[in-house]
Amino acid sequence: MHMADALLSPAVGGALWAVSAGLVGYAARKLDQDPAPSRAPLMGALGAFVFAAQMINFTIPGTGSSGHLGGGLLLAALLGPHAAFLVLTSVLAVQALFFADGGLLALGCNIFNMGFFSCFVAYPLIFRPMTGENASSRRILGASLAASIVGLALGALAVVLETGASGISSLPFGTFVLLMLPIHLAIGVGEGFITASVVLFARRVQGIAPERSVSPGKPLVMALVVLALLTGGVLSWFASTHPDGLEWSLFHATGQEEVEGPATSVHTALANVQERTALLPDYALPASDISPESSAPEGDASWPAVSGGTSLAGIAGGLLTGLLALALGWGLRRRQACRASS
Amino acid sequence: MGAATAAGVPRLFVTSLEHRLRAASHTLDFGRRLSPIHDLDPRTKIAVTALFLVVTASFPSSAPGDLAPLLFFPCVVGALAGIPGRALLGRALVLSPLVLLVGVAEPLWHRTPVIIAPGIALAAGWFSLLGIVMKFVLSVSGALLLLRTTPLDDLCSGLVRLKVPRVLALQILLLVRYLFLLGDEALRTLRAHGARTGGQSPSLALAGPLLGSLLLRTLARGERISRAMAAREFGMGALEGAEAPLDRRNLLFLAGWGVFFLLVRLRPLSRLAEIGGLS
Repeated sequence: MHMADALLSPAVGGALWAVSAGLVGYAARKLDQDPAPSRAPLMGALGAFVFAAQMINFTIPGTGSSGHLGGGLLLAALLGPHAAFLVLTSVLAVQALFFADGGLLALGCNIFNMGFFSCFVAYPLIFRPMTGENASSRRILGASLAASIVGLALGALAVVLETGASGISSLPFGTFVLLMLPIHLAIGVGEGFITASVVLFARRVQGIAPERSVSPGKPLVMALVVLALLTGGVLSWFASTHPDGLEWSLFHATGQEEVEGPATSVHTALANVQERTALLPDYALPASDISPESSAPEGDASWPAVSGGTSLAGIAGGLLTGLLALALGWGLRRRQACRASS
Repeated sequence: MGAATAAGVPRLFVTSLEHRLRAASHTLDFGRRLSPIHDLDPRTKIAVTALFLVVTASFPSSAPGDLAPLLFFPCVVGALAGIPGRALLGRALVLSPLVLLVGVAEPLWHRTPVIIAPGIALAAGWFSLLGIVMKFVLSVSGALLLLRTTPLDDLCSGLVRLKVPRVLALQILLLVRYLFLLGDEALRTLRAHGARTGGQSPSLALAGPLLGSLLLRTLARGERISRAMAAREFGMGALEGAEAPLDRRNLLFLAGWGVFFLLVRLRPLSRLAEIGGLS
């Protein structure tokens, strides 16, 4: 469920970076106030465990698919939400730095989507109240399933909202949600089973119980307030017909005013030729006597108008520039190699 | 699931873990090399990478050609640092599932016709798809370049000097130190399972014993290391570094790429093509 840089506008990426930075600062302050001895080595080892465990896929019977441990819920159950959030943040940072999973601009989104919802929402609001003291195995399984499903569904919904607010995708909101939610609900079931079985195994073998040191009241209130503020903020961006991210891009994109030229005879003639000979038959225009730009459906109104000439010139120029960049890189590399050998 | 290897170990999930461990090891090796780029202050590289990523993301995906000049950054910096192209772009060849989903949907949903030559038109979504792929390649190479030109310890010290909470920087450092240790343990467990089951992947029923035993070993090891570090008075001061101001070389690197990125953003190729009468 990693959000990617390629799907984000700077405004949305920056906003989620700020939110996640605030959450990291809050979690770090809470850990500093913890009178317990430094848990840094244990947190580091658990981060490495989650990293390795995420690579191990388990076959889910009857589905033909497989699942792996997410880690957020398990970490929260072992370390408490604040330390768990920091450990998960470090796992996501390492994944972004070493393997470019998601990317660095999207790191704020990924920390929020995967860390916040599992550690500050699913754990304190669902898992912990459902398990309580000396919970039965069945209750732990139920709590893990419910918390994993809710955490993943909220994360998937956040991905859809962030992509929509960035104005990158043409996918309608409803279609995107329908594509994302069912698969993440299924993943949530798999993750819930895996989390429950690890927690139960650890409890049975060594009597390791979920953490008890953190009062559930403050995280609960904090989670509700932050969730309400953020959901309102993100939803309000999405509700706008011209989302902030897209407005930003449109404002800075060049040539938009110029390419939407008047419907001259050349334009009309070319449009007629295009209608008869287009490669894609389904984008027939509702009225053939108006220009393609003016006949675009309303839903496309906020999209940057694209001119074929400009696009082609841009791509051709881009291709040449890219080749130039590669040639320069190759030349520099040769020069470095010559210097090293001499 | 994955096909079995000759050793009877499931290929898909074992090699994914092995591949990641190997890639992480290579990344750390690249970061320790000597080059003019490696010599730069990590704060400079973090700032330039951040600017590069923001400028890349700020382009509309409908103008893929405008993104091309940004290729100069990974190409030039990668070459000066002696990082092979495949180390930066190899990962970019495998698109993330989410990017694939959104990218492939573009030609289907964004169908405004774009005339590219007399008689030939394409849906505008194809340009958006190309733009999304370009952005993906650029952002992946930019992100990978940072750690491949900066030792991890220096990067974490740089993060602390940029006011990232010390506990998080230390957590990243420790995670990477334990990663190879626990990764090897996980691989041994998987190999043992594969050898006993003829290469089948573990079922969900085995998740508890398999991951649980790895977790218990992790906890025991974590506690042991924690006590050993406490005995040696290891603390949060591990990431203290000198607060040296940026020298002229760093400032030049920062200003040079900053000006280049701003020029590319404010004077995109499509605008230049229009001015030159190409459209």
